[in-house]
Amino acid sequence: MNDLNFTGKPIEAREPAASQLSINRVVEWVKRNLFNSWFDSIITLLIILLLGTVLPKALDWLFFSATFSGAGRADCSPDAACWIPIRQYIDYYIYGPFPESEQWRVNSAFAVGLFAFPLLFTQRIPQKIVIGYILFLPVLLWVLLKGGFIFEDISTSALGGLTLTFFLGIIAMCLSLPVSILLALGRQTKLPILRWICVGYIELVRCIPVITFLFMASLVLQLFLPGGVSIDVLFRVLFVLIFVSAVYKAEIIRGAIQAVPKGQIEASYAMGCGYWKTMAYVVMPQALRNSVPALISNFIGLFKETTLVMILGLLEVMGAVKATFNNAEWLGLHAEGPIVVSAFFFVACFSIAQYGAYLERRIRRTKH
Amino acid sequence: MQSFFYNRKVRDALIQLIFLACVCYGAMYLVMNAATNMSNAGLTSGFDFLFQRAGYDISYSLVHYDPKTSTHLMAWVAGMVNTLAFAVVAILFTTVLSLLLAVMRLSHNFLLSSVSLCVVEYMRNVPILVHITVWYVFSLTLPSVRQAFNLGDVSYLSNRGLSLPSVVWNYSLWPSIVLIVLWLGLCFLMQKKVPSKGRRRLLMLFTTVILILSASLMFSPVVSISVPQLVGFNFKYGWTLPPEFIMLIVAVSTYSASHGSEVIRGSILAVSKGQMEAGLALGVKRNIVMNRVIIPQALHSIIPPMTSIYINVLKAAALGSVVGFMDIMGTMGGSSLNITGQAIECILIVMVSYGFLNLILAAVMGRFNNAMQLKGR
Amino acid sequence: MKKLIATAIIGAGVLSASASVYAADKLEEVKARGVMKCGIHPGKAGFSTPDTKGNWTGLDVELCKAVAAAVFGDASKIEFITMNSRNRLTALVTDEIDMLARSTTFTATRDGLNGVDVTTPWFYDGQALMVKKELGVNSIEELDGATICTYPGTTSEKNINDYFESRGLSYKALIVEGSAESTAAYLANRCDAVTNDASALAADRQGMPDPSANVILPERISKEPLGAYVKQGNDDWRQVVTWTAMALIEAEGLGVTQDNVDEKLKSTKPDVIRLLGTEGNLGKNFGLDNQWAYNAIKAVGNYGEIFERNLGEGSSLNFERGLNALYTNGGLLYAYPFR
Repeated sequence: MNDLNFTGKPIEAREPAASQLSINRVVEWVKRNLFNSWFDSIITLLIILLLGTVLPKALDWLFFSATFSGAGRADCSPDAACWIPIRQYIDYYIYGPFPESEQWRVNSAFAVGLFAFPLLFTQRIPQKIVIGYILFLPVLLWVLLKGGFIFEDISTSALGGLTLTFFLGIIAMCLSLPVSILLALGRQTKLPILRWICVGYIELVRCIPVITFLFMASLVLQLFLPGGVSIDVLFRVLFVLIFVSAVYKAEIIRGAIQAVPKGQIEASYAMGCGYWKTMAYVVMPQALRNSVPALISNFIGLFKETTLVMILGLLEVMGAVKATFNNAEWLGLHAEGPIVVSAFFFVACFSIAQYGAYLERRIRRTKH
Repeated sequence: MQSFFYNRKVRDALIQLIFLACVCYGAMYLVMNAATNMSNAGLTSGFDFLFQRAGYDISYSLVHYDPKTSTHLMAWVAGMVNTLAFAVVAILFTTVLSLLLAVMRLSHNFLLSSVSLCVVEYMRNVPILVHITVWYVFSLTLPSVRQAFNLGDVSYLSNRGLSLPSVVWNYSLWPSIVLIVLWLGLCFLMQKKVPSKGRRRLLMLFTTVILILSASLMFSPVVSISVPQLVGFNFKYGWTLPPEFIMLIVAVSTYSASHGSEVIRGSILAVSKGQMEAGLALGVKRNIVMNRVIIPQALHSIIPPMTSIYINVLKAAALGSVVGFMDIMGTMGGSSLNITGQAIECILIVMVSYGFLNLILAAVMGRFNNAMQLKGR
Repeated sequence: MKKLIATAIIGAGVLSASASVYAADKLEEVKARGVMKCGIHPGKAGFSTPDTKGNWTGLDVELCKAVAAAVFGDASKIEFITMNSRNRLTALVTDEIDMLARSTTFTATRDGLNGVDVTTPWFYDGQALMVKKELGVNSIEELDGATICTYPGTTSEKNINDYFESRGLSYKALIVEGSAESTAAYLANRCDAVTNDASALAADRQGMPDPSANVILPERISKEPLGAYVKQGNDDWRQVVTWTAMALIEAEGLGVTQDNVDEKLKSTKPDVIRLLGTEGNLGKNFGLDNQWAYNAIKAVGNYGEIFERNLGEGSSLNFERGLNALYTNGGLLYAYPFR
């Protein structure tokens, strides 16, 4: 069979005659895509067998036999999932120990943060406004979640659960962008010492696990500061996330800068623009636009990486879930927590990834 | 004077010098702060602790580690070896799984490619730490030692890990050395005297077999196979891989493979579709076109991103301490740090160790990449 | 490294020309800040766990609240910071927290080496081992060759090693990061025994599907006095934390409770009115209000009440007082005299 398909897409039945019954077309499709050869048939049957045995059991454990409501541990059946603690603690998972009267601030912070995504989507709004919004976003989130300006100040220990994950993810993302642009430019500059420092920094940070940097921040960063000065652990962690993820972003942006045609840069220099003007008005606008999809997948990585702060004892969403399952009443339930956390991350990251893929397709379309 | 500063070279040099001075001053300032703070707080410093007795047990170690006598330095070695063992196995699995998932995804069997799609999307959208926890919870649902899965009476899978038969060398030192010297001498002689490559190889194989046979006759049994047996609380004999190790490898390699398979798929799809069509039009079989035309070209763009995936695999060993796998972060950055309280030194050692391992890995992959690129042209 | 640091110290001396800052005592610092920062465990049943609203509860948490009440007269002027077992002591040294109430054992090494000071024991514990009843094990001696679950970076890791080593027994340690994981590993027979402080084991056992199927072996392989740590060299602050804990213990002995503390203010018994600050200047001498102990008791109650609420019959844990009874009742709790 000489089909040309090697993209993994199902093959549509060719030349579907209008007179054919639709059932025939289904049979044709099944034949082509499931039972194309004897080997294919065996694989298909094996998969069906496997799904047939595993899926009903899993669904039964997760939903049909599971306990969703009740007062305490006694209501749970031992052979199926027990979702009572999740329901009891759901507010804690989302808002952490944030003061209840101020929770509208968390809600609006979520709204403000999520608004950045559709902003990347529309083409009508000029790029300046989008970049301005992204630069302004950390300030806005800071004011909403941490306080200051007209809002009451909230202690950093009141940030927890999803709020903390969100706070760390978005702020580290936005603030690492400028750092990464400088690093990318530094890596390509003609000044040798500057370049070596940037290259050394980027290569070194890429080789060392983030978790050791986080431990450094949590354990010893304070020792390096002058006596009496102390930085909150949350900000030290944020600092690490910014300066580590900037390295990965710098590589993305460097690639995008290299993709900008050399002729444009030379033309800009020939017109009398200096280095910074050329970068700001000719190179960066194109490079940034083209690196948006890669930056979005970088954001997904960063968002997932925020779970590591749990190891330091900070209660982000996974830490919060774990802490509540340490309650005397719920000790011994150990599958429910990870399942809920992974479901949350899957939904969040998958939708962002789909959005990134869409943007990439659009950029490609506009190029050709 | 003014023109001196407007000279481009002078200005560049000045900017760099100022920048360098700032960096150096910043580093100095931090180190000085640390020194004053530590002496004020009465903390000890220095690397003397490396030679003190560690006094804690390492649950799984490939080198000899005895909690009664071993030092912190030995704990570091044990952690380093564990990290390396993990990295080698996990990188291998990552490569194989990435290929498998990519091939599945590119298959025209609708079910197979959908399964691959689901697996990949789940794996790459959930944090690695969650994966590790989930797999660890799963490992605990394996049967206990007494009800272990019996894999053909030689291997057992239980929640204590995978027990495999192992090869035991009962060699005595001096005869072995004599034999090895003899063998090396023979090889050297043949290198000189036998010009033909094919015959030399044959001769070498022959002598090696003879030597091994005579050795096993002289000191029989040189090699014996040790099969795991249940004694008391645990399996004894054989070779038991602890579940932490296995589950960490499974979690990390499936997570990395989900990224790797996308890299491979992307690279294969990036090779223009026309090449496949041209090959098929020439009457060449599909898998031959794939192996001879598409994959060699795709390999160029696969290696660099795969290198960074491999580096991430190695770095993920540091997360093993969450489930009790003792890598460098678990020994030096965990138990040693807690017992000695010397946080700066311990974390520094961990960072340097990981940096060193990864630079080596990057260098090896770089050479591999170069070799591939040359062959392609 | 030593040389480097020595050079750096000399360099620092030359450069900064003796401009080093000596912070005032922690007590002044805390008062000026208006809020106390207390390091706690991120989840240990009975000692510190979040409730559904995210408020922390537990024995350790109440000690923090008592200190806050003694200093500010208001137990809510407190900030809880969760700590893991690796960074808890460093956090004190670097002033990230003012006191650490995170079930931390008092040991000579920690007191001497790590730049922290002990206060007074708040909970007497001892390390024990728990095994399944079905194993039929009655003493630790029978556990030769067993796999034992411990946590990283706790004294339990070293204790179990010392205990087995001194008796010529062998064991295999399995080090697992958290108590939930450790319990899960034990329940799944991943290890034959789990070791921890007896209180924690009892709590873990309570949470198991069938608590009666597990035995805590009678031997205590270590002494584990748990209590609050403070940063070294802050004597005023250490006194405040120490004596607040003592005041709550003394209050139990004197029969002063959260409910009757207002009546007791008018008491005629000299011990009671000295404790509550109606007479004398105990509070002033510590740099606090004279009603410091009254405030603490008013906020959290006496030691007995705190214990019952979090670990005893008021909780699902049902602990015995055991060593943690007053010395008059056969326990170890003994407050120094308030005079």
